[in-house]
Amino acid sequence: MIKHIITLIWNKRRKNFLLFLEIFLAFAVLFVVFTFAIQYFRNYQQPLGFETEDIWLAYLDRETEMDSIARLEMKLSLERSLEELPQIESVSWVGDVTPFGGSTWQSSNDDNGFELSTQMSRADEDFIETMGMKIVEGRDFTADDVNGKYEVVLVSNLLRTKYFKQDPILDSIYNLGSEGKVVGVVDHYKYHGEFEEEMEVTFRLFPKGSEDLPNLAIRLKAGTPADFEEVVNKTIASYTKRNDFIIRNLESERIESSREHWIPLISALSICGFLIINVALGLFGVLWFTISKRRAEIGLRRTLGATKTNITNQFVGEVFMVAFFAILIGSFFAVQLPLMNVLDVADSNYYLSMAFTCLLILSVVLLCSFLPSRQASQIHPALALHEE
Amino acid sequence: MLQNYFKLAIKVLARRKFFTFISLFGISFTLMILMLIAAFLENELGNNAPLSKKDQMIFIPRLIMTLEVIDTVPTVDSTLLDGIMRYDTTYEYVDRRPSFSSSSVSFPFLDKHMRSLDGAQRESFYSTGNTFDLFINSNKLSFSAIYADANYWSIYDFNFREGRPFQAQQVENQEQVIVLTEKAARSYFGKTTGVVGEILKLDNKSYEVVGVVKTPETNRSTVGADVFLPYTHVNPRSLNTEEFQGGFQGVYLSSNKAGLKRIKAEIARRAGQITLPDPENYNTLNPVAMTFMERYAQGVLYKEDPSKSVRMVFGLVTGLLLLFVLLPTLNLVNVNISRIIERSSEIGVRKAFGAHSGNILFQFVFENIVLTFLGGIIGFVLALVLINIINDSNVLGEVNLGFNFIVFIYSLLICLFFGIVSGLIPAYRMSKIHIADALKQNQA
Repeated sequence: MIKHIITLIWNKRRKNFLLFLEIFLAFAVLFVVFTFAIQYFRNYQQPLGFETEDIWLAYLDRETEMDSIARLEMKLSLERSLEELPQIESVSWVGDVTPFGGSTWQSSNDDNGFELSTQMSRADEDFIETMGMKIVEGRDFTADDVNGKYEVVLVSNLLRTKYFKQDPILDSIYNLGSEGKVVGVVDHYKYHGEFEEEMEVTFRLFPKGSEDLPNLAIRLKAGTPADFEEVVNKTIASYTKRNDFIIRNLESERIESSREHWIPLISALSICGFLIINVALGLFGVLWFTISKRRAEIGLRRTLGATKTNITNQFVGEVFMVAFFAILIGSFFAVQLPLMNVLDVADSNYYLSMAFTCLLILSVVLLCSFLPSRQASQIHPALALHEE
Repeated sequence: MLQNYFKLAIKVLARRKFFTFISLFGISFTLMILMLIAAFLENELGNNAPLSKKDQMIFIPRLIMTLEVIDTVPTVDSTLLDGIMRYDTTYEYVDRRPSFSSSSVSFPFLDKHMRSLDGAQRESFYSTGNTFDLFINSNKLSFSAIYADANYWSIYDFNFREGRPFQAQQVENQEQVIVLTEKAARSYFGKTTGVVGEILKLDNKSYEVVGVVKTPETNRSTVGADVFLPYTHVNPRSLNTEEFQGGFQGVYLSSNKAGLKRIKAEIARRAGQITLPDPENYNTLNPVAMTFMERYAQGVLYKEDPSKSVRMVFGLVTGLLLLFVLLPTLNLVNVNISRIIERSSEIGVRKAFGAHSGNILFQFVFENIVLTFLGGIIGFVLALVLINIINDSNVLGEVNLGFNFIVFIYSLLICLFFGIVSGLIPAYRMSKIHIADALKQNQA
């Protein structure tokens, strides 16, 4: 049966070649788009690890004009007067690497006996609480930690499980960008955005007055009106004596950063949808036409005893076989991507995307060939032969 | 003759409605998307104010400082030869770059080293990316500001709706003057006309509005801002810093294309003469001089060599577009082949009465072009609708897509190309058909 169908396809190879090429191309385009879509979707499923509702980030410029004591005093009194405002729950100083801020600080070394790579974030002892992050192991920073002999760090759970497996990690000193004593593990911190892959993160504790913590994270009581921002703005300006700072609402930052991903994703998927419909309609039309041209053949086969199912199977089989070969060749090329590690995408995403693409194309092909083939099988042998 | 072909084409299209629908669906959607892309590219890369003269500009957006060292890496190769251990040591020289710093440029650096370059008509130094939060009746306005000199206005041709730009004298005297976009004027004053002379409070200073410009329809950092201030109002320490890197960038205008290369060479030459203050930290200085296209391409796909970025982005875009167009084209070819077989008797008759293969080819390609233009019209309407939706929903920020003459010409060309390509193969096949076969095939 299969051999027979292959012979039939081969006899019409010029015509089938175009069909083959079309399905092959459709496979290629869908495969690439699905790979990225799956990657996005998987990243999206990972929790952010911090809250965005009612949290503001104030980006102040680095204060380099004051000496360190004046700066410390200014920062402490600014924090105190912000905390005195009834609408504010807590305030924390944070470094240049902030949620949705677009900055990254990456560090890697092999000082611990293995290659370790982590992203760094600087913050004071109130940051974890202000951002509503969860500690899953050990403890949060405390105010005393600044005075300890060793620098104190928190790591994300991803770093912990990736590099240390089940080994105890608390109170050990590792070189995570700089030497530090690990006191706790935070659940997640996907600070680049909802669609970004979560990376291993290390939080380094810095004193509040440090030059390296220029920005403020502010947690508000739920339901604080937006115009409260003016009060915060005036308060900050009165201490820093400057106006070139901005306050960003973390929730709108989150929506904004997600939108940057939604738009290309939706555009790409709708273009794919259009291509699929296009291919389906084309397939449908061509088949309809071919079958009406082959009425005589059908009539003959029916007379010689082929059942209606036989006829349907033959036509569906022909198209299916062409599609199968196209997908086979397409998969051969597609498999090279994970094998040669061309793009920065997890292997499983490739295979999942390949499976999806195969499934989609084969079902479209089946659907589009089944209807015209059914139509063909309804042809009455006597009529068909009579036409001839 | 063309008229006859046209009539015939319409007749044939009306005959097989389902096939016509399939073809038109594919064509109109493909062309719609291509037109959207053309409109987008025109907006991004066309010569639109305030970047009308962008092809005569050289930018210095960044200054890269690096520490380049050559490391000697010894490799000891040991082999056991006749029971005796032999060592063979080879030395390899490796370029290493332990420190790398890339940032916009400081004003003193540009002012001192990069003025009046050979080949440049004029230059402007300005600082972008400054933001201010203002509160008007408890409403928050986030204004982005550009601190610029007077030359800025003669390089970027902003469309002044009212007033005029600030002058060199005003900049020097630190006069508190400001230029607004219409958008900023509307949000601050609630109106866009009669704003000149009004006072805008910003950064604890009162600025007098001297001009209102049409809001640039682009997100480019060089011109995309809400307010423009004389650079002398920028934080005093950034005007007197010793550092080479700071918050400024430079732009040079040349009178012709040849000047661009000269400006680039001159920037590199001058950079070579500068002694770095701290060679232990950084020993190489590279003010990145780029044309508009190079700068754009580097923003899309970063390669250290900007011309490589341009090539890669260009290749990538063409490749993707080809891939996208190929599929609907193949589909159309497929459908066309099926349709054309139906008309083999017609071809046979025409040939029998003396038509050449060329005539037949021309007729079918022409018919296909008619079909594509029909699809093109539908696609055009769809694209217009979509552009309106995109502009209204602000998904692209300040970018305001529009259909101008150039985009229309592009669309026409796209239609023509699409029509010829998808019609040629089937028409060629049919035109080759033998008369007798064609006449006979009618039944098969």
